[in-house]
Amino acid sequence: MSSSSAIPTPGASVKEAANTPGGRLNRAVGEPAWVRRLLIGLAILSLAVILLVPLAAVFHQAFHKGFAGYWAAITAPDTLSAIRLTLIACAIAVPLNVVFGVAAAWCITKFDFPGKNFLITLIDLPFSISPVISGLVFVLLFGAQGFIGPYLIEHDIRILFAVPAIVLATVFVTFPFVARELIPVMQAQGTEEETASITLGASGWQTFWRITLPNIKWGLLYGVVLCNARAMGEFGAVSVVSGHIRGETNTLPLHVEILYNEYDFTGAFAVASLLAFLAVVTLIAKKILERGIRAQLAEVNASKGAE
Amino acid sequence: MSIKIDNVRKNFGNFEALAGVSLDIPSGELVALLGPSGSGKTTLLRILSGLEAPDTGRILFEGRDATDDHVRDRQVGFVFQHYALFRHLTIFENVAYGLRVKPKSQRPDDAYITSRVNELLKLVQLDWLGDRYPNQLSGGQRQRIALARALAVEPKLLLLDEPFGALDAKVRLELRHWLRRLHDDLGITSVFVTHDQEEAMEVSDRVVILNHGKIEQVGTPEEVYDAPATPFVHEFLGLTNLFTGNLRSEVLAAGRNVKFTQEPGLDDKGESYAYVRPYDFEVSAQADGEDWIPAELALSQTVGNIVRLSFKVEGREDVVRVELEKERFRALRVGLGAKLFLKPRHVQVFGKAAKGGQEGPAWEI
Repeated sequence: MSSSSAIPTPGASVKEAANTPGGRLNRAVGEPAWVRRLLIGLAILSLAVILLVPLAAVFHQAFHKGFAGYWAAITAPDTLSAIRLTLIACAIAVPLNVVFGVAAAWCITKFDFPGKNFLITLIDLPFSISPVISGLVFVLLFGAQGFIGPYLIEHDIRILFAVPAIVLATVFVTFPFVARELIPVMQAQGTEEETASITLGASGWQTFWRITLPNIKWGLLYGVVLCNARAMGEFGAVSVVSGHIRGETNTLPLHVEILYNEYDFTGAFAVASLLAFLAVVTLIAKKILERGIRAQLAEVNASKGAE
Repeated sequence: MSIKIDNVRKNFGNFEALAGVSLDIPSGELVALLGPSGSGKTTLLRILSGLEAPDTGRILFEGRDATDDHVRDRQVGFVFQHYALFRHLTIFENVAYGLRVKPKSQRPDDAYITSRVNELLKLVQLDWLGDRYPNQLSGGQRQRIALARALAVEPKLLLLDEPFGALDAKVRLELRHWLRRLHDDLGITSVFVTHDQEEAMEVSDRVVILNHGKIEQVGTPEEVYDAPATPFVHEFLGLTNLFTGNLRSEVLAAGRNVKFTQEPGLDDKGESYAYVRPYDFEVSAQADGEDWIPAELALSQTVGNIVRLSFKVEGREDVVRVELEKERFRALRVGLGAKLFLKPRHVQVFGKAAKGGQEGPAWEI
């Protein structure tokens, strides 16, 4: 029971209803017990079929040939190379997007300027267009028939079907995550503390490191986690620009596809299990960070509303 | 630090926030900028601090032009309405902030910072709260910490933007007295913004009354209250009754049964505005001599020791508001609907020009 002072009511439904956030569910506005059980049952069933069974299947298939088979699949040279490439892409894309995201959110929430709404829309662009199109944009730019393709070929600079294009595509697709997380947090916090810092003699740089950054740290970490998960898992855009060269331009998701197409199910699922594991870790991290963000926003409200 | 504000103007888009303001503030004075919202008082404060730049005009500190000085270099302490304490820092670190961000060459050592912060926390009588966080403090405590934080860098000028606006009535009253005492102890030139005329009158050495981006009057609290320069000042400083009429031969006729005999020596002003404060009326059951206004009691409310009365006067749309002490009202032994007579003890008369033609007369003869 969420509240010990609630008046006990006879009937079996009381205990279930007690778990609703607002305290005990009012029976006058609630549904009959069988309706509630049916709906909850359906929700759990679909959750299991859509999420839990596939997750279990991934690990089951991965360990189909025992741990040795799993280990062999993961330590295959092509797989290791794919892991390395994915880590490189993330190691470049995530920090870049942290810088972009913080700068964009800072400028959108702390200043007023014409074209602000347009900029906000622009940040969302990678969310709204298909990843395949995002990849194609880079092919159009850097491809042999593209805008600067001939120049690149002339000077022997390889971007398309090489690591730079993979990084660029990853940066583009994951661009909104950090900024999107920070804008609402920074909007709620306003600019008063920064103004106070400046009047106390701090420089803009000191104000950012000492005041702004500590106030947004949870939101920033949250954005980083989501950005990282997407960067590691990105398939569409990277697939278009990578060229699928084994051991060279294959990232983890692309490698899963190649192995699967070659009927190497154990290998495909072993590599997939790595990504699935990443997803689980991301979810847990997300849950922890959300708690931090909530606490930080509650502080804002407390300091604004308090007498 | 003495301050000179020289013909400062500021527009926000089409809105004229300051329409040419000039003001001298002598060193060590506590000045209130008083006005309704949109009068430009906060804009003027932010221009003094450097957070806003004037469109034209100059700001001089000690006779030196500081118009283009950066906020950082002005040596100004700023206290915000909503405190703006740093949430993630302890109270101690909040107060120490201004010292810690000083350039390396001027930054004091830790021992000095510790002793200075403790000294300031003692000054605001909150030295036992050093290791708490802002959200563990009450509003009044937070505002005192905000003041200590602003004082840490030894500002030459202290600016306070509606410092008590977010506090409840009782705490506000305490902090007012406390601020006055603190100012008397430290002697820092201080400017604070308020829309509460009582607060301005009680705390400040001088009151600057602003309206529509212009200064209406500057003076001590007594001066502006007893001799308001414009009808706006009179109206803004408290409840009042307006009578419109013609001033001829020292008699202001304002309706069939309403006339005020002026002190001799007043010029004939023609169409004029006469103001009477609610507590400046005599109330009587009989008209005994000149200038009594027949009136009918329409409403009475007792608030503490005061009875607020509303009277209907023939030919006048607005009621006449009168305040009497409870004892004196009881002595009249009357109820609602009683026919009584009112006589003003003190009338303030303004010519038509002073009114500026912003509002029409409340009623016509």
